[in-house]
Amino acid sequence: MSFTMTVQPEDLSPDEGHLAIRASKGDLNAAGLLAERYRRGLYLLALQLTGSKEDAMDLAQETLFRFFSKLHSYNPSKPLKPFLFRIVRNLSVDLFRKQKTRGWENQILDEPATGGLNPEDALTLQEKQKKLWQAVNSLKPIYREILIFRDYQDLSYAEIADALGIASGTVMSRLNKARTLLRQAWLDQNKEEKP
Amino acid sequence: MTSCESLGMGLLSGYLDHELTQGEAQKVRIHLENCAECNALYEDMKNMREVSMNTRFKEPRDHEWNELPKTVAGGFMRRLGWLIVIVWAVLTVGFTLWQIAASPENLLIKVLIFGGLSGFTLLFISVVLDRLKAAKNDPYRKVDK
Repeated sequence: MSFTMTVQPEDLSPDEGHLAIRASKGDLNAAGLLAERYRRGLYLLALQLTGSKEDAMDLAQETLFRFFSKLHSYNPSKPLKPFLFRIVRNLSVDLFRKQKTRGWENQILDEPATGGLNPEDALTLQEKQKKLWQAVNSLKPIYREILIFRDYQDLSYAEIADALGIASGTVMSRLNKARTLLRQAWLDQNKEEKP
Repeated sequence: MTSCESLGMGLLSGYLDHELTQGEAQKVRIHLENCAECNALYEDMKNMREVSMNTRFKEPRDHEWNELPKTVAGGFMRRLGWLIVIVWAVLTVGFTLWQIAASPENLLIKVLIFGGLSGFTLLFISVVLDRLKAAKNDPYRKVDK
């Protein structure tokens, strides 16, 4: 059995649940479409969680393998994104626990989209993004991951709750704590630069 | 009136992310209008969120996606293929060594054949392992030749 990555135009309309049901019944186009639709998002989340391009590529692939081999445990009435993100997150936790990460890379940020900005402002923005990312990485994993889910992946509280397996109320309070700590880390960083 | 403490328990983030009910949001709004400290915290949080949201991360180039197995089944087969090759190599080497050990040749010939074969096998495995490791960590492997 093979899941081809060919996307057929008629497959673009069905929602994720239908695609997942079709994939679970062996529909190759549906499975391929889901894989193609999510691999970029999974890669980016894995990159943010692990800080390594190679780890991110491996994790994105592993997530898709696990998803396709465990389609029966996915409830198609629930959104797919948090389900997949939960797999990525758990895999990255395993990776850190087993100390098998390839280590943080310094060059994972891309240049910002500079529509309408002059070069000087664009450079300032880039510096700001870099420093904020450093501040995010200085936080404990529990706060880092929730900030990544909300502020870098733009997941709703319900989706974060699903992905992390916690209550929505916990998402709100943990996120608030994470942002307060991040603000402190950011302010400290700026203080160090201006003695 | 909403207190600074209750904002610290999560309401401020909920307000920033539009996750509060209309009533809760109204209470937070009024508090922010009257509390400079919470308002400064809120503005910083908002600013940080905007910076985060606009941050872009490097993505693989098209050819890097293409280096991955193009099908899920392909990926499974690749893994299975490696497993079979490893099992085959172990069985072949083991069987050959056993055949030599069980053959009626005299001890010196056995030791010579056994030693030579084992040495070559170990050298070959070590070279393959080194090459695989080097290929994975080579910083120039993505530079076009």
